[in-house]
Amino acid sequence: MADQTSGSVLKSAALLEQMRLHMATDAGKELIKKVGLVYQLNIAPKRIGHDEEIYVVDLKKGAVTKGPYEGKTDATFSFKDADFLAVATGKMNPQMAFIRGAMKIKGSLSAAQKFTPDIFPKPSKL
Amino acid sequence: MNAPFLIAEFRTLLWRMPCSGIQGRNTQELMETLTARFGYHPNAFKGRTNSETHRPRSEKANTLHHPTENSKFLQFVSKMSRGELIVDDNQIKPASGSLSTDWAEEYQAQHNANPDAWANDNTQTWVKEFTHEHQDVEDQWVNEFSRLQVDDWADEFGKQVGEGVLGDSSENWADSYDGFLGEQLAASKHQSDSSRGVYVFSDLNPYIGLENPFKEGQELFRKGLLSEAVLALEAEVMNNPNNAEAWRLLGITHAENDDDQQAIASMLRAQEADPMNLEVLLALGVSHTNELEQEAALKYLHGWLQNHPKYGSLTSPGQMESLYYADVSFFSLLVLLLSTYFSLHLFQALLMSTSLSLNVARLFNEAAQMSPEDADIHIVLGVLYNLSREYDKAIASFKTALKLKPRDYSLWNKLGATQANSVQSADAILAYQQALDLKPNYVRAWANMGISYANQGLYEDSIRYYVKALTMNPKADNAWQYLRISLSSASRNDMLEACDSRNLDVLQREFPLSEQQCLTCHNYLETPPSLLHFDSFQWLLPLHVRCNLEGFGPLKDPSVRKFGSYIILVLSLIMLQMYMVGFSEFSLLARVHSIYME
Repeated sequence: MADQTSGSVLKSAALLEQMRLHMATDAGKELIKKVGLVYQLNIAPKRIGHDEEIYVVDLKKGAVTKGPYEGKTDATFSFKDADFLAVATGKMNPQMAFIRGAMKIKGSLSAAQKFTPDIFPKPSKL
Repeated sequence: MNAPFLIAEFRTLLWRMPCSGIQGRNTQELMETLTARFGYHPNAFKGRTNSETHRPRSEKANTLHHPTENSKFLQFVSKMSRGELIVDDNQIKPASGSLSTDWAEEYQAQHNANPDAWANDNTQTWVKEFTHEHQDVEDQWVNEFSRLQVDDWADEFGKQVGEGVLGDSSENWADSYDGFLGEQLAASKHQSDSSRGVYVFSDLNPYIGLENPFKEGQELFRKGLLSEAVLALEAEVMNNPNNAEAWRLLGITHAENDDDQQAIASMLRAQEADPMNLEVLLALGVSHTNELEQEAALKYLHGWLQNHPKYGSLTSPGQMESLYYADVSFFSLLVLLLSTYFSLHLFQALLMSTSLSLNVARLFNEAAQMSPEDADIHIVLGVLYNLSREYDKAIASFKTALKLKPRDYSLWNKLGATQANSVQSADAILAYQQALDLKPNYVRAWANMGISYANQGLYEDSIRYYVKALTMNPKADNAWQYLRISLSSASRNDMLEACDSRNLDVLQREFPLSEQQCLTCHNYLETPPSLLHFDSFQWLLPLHVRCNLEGFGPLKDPSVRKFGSYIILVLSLIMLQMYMVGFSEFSLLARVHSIYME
């Protein structure tokens, strides 16, 4: 099974890979029913906007792909690597992240409000 | 008016200037406003705006287009400047001697040439400029003033704000900003400390001063009281900072307590004390893998191999750097050729994964072949495959290692975590239960259980497991955050406050993990089951989701269902037998009865 994220330098790649596998499970299908939106994540290793890796979390079809989305996404987020991990694991509240400028949002705000930590599966510790 | 009051009021005015938007005006207007305000009763400018202070005594203001000595303030100031008054012990005393300069006029002249002096927000700059301009003037007051007051202005400002000089809104802002800053500072300090690998000792350690805290620590660890063991071991390393074994045990305890940051910090100290220790290197590799620090983890795992007596020969110094690139040159040629026909992206990914698999794993695979009975090499392989996200291979490695070391609880946890990360959550739960069988106080495994339930969408269960983990280690920050997420996903917003205030009592009462639930899981497994069991009953598991047995707690547990299926089978056999026996018995009875009757 080709792992699309294996060439990545980001820590977030691991989480997104887990998300991709998560989509196929029943919990993932629940998520598709609950959210049903397409998010694009521009994750940069050090500074927002530089050397970004673009991932598309498609919660309509249930897929996580690398590369920009052909079509219109419901919301696009820009993060630093560490900040994305913090938001996805619940360490940082998305609103707080937005206020502090750690997360930039483009697109529909209502779609952005559905972007919460509980849509991401959590990593387990060895 | 006495000096402190004057000084205080003066400062108030100066600070108020920028806030009320008078900055940038020239000195004349400034002096005018100063004097205009100063002419009033001191209480007049507490919390008042600019406009309000222009009251009936405006004739005074009007006459003050030119700075004159008429106003009390200017008189006072000029007296001071002329040395007629000295500030002494907070009292103003007339002094002998006088200076010919008129401070006010000189200041005026100097500042006319420099109208932008006030444009500066920071009023302290004004003071500096002020003192600078008048260095040549033998001006006691200025020097005294600047020396006395410059450092206190910030405090005074704070006090004034507190008294409500600037109005209530700014006070709230200042408070909340202070709170924010404080939280930022504390968080960043802790983070920078732990991210730099600096160990953070706990306060109030009851084990300090004990005779042999190391032995205590080992005992507590053995008993499974992890948080207590941490304290005892900390006491030990405070006494003997070079005790590598103590640091190592401390690191392991932290890892089992689900605190990778502290684990890394302890293990680094252990490594300092004992650089060749294999367990330390492995533990560092694992913790860094958990923190998703790929390069660091690789470095430590490679170090493990290098320092291993048997496999050290496979490595060479400086190999680490070349590992990523060793076979790449050959492959890159191949890639270049082939990429013209296929998409480069695909091959790039392939290249990266192959370079990692080929180079690093090849090395370890060689080692594994050298001695296949060594469980440790398989463990290291498993961790490596986790890093490169080749989960199937990782699971295979861990299973091999488990065949050799079936009673290693941390190995079961590793297997479970790998399965969970590759979204085989049901299998993961079984593995965690094995680990917990072997070590009931394994906080990490409890937290991982919670994660696996939450990832499956079973939030109520996950809450119970998180609470259980937190009862054993209230400092597990990860678990608190995950608990919060689960609470809101399960729509238990009433408990969010308890979670935020870290109120374990309330949470424990609300979400108990009944012993019943735990025991029925695996009390029939006296020995670890053969690993075949995991796969064979997987078909049962999706059933629960389809049947939606939300409210029926025990049945959700896959091991219970396994047990249940056994029971049903056995019961049916028994019933069949009973039926047959009963039939024959019944006929026997009937015959006896008939005989008797007859």
